[in-house]
Amino acid sequence: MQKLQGIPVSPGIAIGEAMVMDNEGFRIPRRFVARDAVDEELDRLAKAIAAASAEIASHRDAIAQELGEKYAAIFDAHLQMLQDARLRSELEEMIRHRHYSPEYAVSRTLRHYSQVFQRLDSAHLAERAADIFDIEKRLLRHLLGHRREGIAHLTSPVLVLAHNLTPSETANLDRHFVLGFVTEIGGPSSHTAIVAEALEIPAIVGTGPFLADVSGGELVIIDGDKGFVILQPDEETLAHYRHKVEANLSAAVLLEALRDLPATTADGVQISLYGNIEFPYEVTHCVNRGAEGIGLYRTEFLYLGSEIEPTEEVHYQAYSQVLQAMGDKPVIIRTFDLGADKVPHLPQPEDERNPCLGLRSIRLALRHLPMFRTQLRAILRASVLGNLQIMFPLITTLLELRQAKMVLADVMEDLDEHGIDFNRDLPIGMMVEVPAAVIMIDRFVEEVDFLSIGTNDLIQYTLAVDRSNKDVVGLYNPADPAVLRLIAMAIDAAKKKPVPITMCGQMSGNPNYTMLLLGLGLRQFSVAPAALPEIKNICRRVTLADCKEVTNRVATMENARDITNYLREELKRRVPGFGNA
Amino acid sequence: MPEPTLKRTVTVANRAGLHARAAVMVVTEARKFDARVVITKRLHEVEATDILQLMSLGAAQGEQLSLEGSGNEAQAAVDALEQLFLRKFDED
Repeated sequence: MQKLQGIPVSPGIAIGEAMVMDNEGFRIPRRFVARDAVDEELDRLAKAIAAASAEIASHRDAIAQELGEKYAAIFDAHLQMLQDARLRSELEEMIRHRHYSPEYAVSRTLRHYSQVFQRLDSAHLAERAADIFDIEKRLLRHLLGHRREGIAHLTSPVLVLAHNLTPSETANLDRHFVLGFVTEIGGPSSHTAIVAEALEIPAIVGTGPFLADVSGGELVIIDGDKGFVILQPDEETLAHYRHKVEANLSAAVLLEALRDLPATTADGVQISLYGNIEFPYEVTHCVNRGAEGIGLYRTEFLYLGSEIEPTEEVHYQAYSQVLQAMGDKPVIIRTFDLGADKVPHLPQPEDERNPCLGLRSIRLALRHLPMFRTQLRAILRASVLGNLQIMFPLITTLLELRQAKMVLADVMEDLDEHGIDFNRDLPIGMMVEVPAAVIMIDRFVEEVDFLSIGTNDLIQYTLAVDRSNKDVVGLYNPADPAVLRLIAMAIDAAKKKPVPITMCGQMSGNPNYTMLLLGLGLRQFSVAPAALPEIKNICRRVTLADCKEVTNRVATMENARDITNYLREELKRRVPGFGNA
Repeated sequence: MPEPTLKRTVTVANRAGLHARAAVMVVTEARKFDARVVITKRLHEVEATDILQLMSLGAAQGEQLSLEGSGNEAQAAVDALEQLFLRKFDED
């Protein structure tokens, strides 16, 4: 038995057969070869290299003829790399002496080279890592032939274990058969985390390397509550987890009973609970748990699932599906919130060394207006189908907000000219997730219909912490007093105007913070559908007086860790039995 | 008696540095001669015929490399490689 610790990003327990995925969707069937098969495997490697070389050479010639020698040069480089004598001897050594399968040897070795390239100082040279990936993929394709399998087509339930999953893999996976995810790298905001949350299956990221220790088909346990991945579990552990799965099921039934009860505090204050979604099918999860609306409909996956830009019709179909399912309940659609590096059909940005501070989100939208307008048109067209509201992400300056609103007004005019129907009074809101926006919040409230606090980015930007960086992730804490002050400022300004204010980040779905947020004056929470019953349960069991007491106490504390510990204790004390469920 | 070696310093002058295409030119040129050429950036030594190693030097514009040739055609090989650097790999 082997137990690994990673970052739990989606709760729950999954027990099942491992499916080991390697580089870019290639599933490597086995890592080791039998001793007496070594010669055969070396022969397979030689054939794959020869076939891949022939393929590159013919590409080379075709490109040279079509576009000129200059464009074919890169294939010369690929060819040289593929036939590199040192590479060849490294691969052969791994197969001969360590009994690695050729697939595994190729993947290990080339990944090593791509890491070396990625670490190079010169950005231009570092980009050559992409060439190495390309060669790796090509070789693997020849080695695996038709045995290559992805997660788009599965025939039985599996736990997906991967180094990393690309957005298009996660977006296109077969959701009937994937029971859970583990990735070696990635942080809480990785796509794997978001998709797993949407699918409500357990997921763990950032375990560090472990794929070498597991083979496809083995029994694996994923404990998404604690962040454990258990390989080759013993009988006792297996029994323990099987029991837990049963217990979770009955707890879910208990919380389900809350569905039709209002989220009113014990002293009668009305709280609104909304759901966050990423895919239209999640609407069902929200409705089943009594959500009063969709507080955040993220639209990024429309872009990530395919290589081409989604058409207006693709957007419209997705939005109308959500609106129709929600009836007259509010649906807040957030315009795309992506970095330029994540959108396959946009030119790669040149200076994006610091994507969090770079061309992303609303900045990208305002830079690529045709793409932005396509989405806005679809949103406007869908606005007649229900209670649709639009929200702009990452607004930093008033000018940006005004520009976004101007583009929207322009698209409205356009629709008018074409006699296309839309809701002219569509409420327009913004995400509050950049400290600059909070500092200027008294001005922003004059120009929006509602606000929504995005805690993930707000924390990251306030504390200057990249939470996917394991060396500093410990500094990322929603309970940091600086963050809490900003949240309080935003809520106070919204109340004063007044405009409605919601919180839609992960903080709002974390039961530890519910009392504190209520005490700060928050009355609308938008959370992952799975968190709806828990948050409702807390709201119904506390009084606002309790919450204010908690908030006042927190205001006297100086550091995040004390606050976190205090909040955890208070939750245990005031909502006993919580967490045993 | 160790073979006499021939040493020369070159500067990476082209903007993109010793990237894939330039590395191909080095490798192709180096293979034409009956000589062994070692390219060094600070303490990092690689064979001029080994493209992956060459690229992992990460030699960017402005950096100095040393070329060290040995073997029958060492002189010709080092001259030819130096020319590539001087010609900025026909770029810019």
